[in-house]
Amino acid sequence: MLKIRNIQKHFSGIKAVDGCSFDVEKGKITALIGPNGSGKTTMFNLICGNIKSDGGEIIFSTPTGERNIVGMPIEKISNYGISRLFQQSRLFKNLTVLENLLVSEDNEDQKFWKNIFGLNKFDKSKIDKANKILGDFEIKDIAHLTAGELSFGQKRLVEIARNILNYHTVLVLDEPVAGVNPKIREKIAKIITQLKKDGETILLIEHDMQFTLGISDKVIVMDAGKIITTGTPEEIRNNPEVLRIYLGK
Amino acid sequence: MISAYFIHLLILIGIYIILAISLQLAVGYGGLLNLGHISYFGIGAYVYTILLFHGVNFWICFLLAGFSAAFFGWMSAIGIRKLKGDYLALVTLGFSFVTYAVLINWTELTRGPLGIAGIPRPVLFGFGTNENMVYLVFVFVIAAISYFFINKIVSSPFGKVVEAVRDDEISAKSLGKSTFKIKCINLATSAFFAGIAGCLYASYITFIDPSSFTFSNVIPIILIIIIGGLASLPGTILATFFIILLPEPLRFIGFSSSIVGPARQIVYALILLIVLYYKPRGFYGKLDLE
Amino acid sequence: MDIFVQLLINGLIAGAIYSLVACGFSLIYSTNKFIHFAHGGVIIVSSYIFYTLFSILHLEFYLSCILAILLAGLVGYLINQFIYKPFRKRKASNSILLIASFGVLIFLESMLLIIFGANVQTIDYIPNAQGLSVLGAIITPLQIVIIISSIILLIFFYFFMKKTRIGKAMRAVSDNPDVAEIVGISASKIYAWTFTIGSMVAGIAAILISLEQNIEPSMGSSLMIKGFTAAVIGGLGSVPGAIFGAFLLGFAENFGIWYLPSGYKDAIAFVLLFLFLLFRPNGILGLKYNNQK
Repeated sequence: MLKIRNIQKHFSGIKAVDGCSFDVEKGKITALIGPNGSGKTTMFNLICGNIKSDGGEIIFSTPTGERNIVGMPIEKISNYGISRLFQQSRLFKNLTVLENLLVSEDNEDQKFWKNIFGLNKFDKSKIDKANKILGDFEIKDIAHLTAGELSFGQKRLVEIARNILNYHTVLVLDEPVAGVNPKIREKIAKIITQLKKDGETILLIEHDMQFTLGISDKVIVMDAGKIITTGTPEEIRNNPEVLRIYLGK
Repeated sequence: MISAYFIHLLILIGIYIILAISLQLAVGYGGLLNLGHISYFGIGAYVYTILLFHGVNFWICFLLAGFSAAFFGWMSAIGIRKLKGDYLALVTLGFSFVTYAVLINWTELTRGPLGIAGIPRPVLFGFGTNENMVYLVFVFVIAAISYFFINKIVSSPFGKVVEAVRDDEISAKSLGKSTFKIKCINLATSAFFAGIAGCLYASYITFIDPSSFTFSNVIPIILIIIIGGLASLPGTILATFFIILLPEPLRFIGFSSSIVGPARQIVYALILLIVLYYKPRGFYGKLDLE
Repeated sequence: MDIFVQLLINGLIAGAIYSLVACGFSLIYSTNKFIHFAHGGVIIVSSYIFYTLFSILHLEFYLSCILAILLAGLVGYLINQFIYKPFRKRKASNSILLIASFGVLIFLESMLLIIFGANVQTIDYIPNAQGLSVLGAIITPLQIVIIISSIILLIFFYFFMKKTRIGKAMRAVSDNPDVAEIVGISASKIYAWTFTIGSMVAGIAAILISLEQNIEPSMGSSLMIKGFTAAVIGGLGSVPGAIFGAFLLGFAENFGIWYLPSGYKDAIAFVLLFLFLLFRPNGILGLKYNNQK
């Protein structure tokens, strides 16, 4: 699905990501773990095109065949099928929750002339789709609130909904449960479990080890820009190297 | 009987409504703090006038005025694609200085500082518009059409994408939106209507010179959209009436005409500061200027 | 050759004036981090203050200069105290502060229009003596005075920033206001000081400008464009950068009108500004500055 090959990124001499290679397999949850500053978010930024890599390849199976997406603009990568959840909340804060979802569904809304002559509306099927996911997430009551007014947990839920509605073949989730209250964390865990059942491909960063090891199929451990080890959650749990990194020397 | 002077004010209000709602599209909805809006107004006025004097049909001049302004709007969007906030504001302000420099120096085309006089009023569907009352109707019809279109844009899905780009460009890109293209379309549309307003202005005043299109002329328009409230079209219209009519009493207190101009600017400057401080969201604004 | 030397000298004169404009602006930007566009207004108000003191009240020349500089500082102080400080308390965004500063600029310019009228004013202190011929180019004694005094001032200013306590405190606030607060520097006091000192530099610029050319109320925004462009070229907030940028701009303008009509002078500044914002937003010295970090 997604093959990362020897990807590199330096920030003024510091190697944030230093020659990492791994695969994200279709229908599996792959988790990226590691201490703060180990290069996980930089890796996500490289995959999604937010920063340009200094070397290496990212091969993505797009609907039209395999492509190296390194150096492509963010929106193009997104349209190929990578849908990203950011670490910080990035909702459109002056739009309502419903509008946030509608905007993410497809790119028909970018067509100016169709819009100006009123031929393009958020049609019923789109609104139904958005409402359905709001229903599934049990947040129908906030549909008409402005996104800026929501609590952090609610924002997180809406963002995940937005990512799911956005066209994708891979979901890239950066700390979906960080900083939310236990109730919403439970809910998000349920949602991700459901996504897994539905056969979604997910790449995940999460600090919560319990959560991560419980849900993922494959775990990649990063430290100081390098991949230390890769394995199943079981293997990682029993790996002394990983414990050393997390607990300090 | 409405007095002639009042008709004059209403015509100006009509023209400013077009200018202000088109700027609202860029600033309020698009989040592009464009201080160079007045240059599209100027480009529209000059293109219209020059073509008209070359014997081109009124409606063609009218539309070309809009489209040429739109072209420059598109160009400016390319120029500012990496900028935002106060940097963007200053660069767009720069566009107005560059436009002014070109208008004043390209004398073969624009007659430079002398300006172009004797611009005829159009004859529309057999009606002459030399009568101000008729012209007023014409201006309000165009203003209404402009309002209709801009309202259509901002309430359509496209309008939501425009707002999404304003709120968080990276996020919009991550959802697959070509934010650059959207900004281009936004500024081009905004400029199109400013160009139309310029054309109405030129044929109403019947005289244009570069000094009508300078930086100080952009202040009232900025003031209108701030007082009306960002991303609020009805607020903008209300504010246009307010801002155009407000300094009028100055004229009747008996100030000489050389004082009225600066005094009006002082009134604007003070209102601007007061509104920014006490009511930064204006009448009906839904968001803050960032 | 003659033309070349003449343009070089003209560029030097323009650069000297712009550097004083840019220097005050950049100082204010470095601590306040927003674009104080009304700086141009302070300059033009100071020119008129100087004009009033010297040409209308017929005060002694040096006394007029000193008073004008002090009053310029006062104008800057008052603008900060009564306009920006309340806005800052409300955590206004940079765009709001920018627009507010336009309001201030328009206010100042319009006040001058009402008081002095739109006509240009001239101050004749140093009569336009026969220009000296340098390598075939003409330079007046006044222009030599302008170049020399601005260079002296800039050196003086440099030592002020490096050696004095206030100068050091300003640099501390500009690096990080929160840390500065912790070590006992009141950021709000420093804001007031930078406005006062930056505006006093503006006052000096104003005097030199009004000796060299006619003054009119609408000059403020055009000067400010130059000052801002110079500051961006040099990297916003870096005073040495601003001075460098000012001279670069001075030369660019004067060599530019070798090819273009002189009316395009302001446009040249903008094209430069635009190119720098697009391709080198950190300015020429910006990169070096980053590497040092």
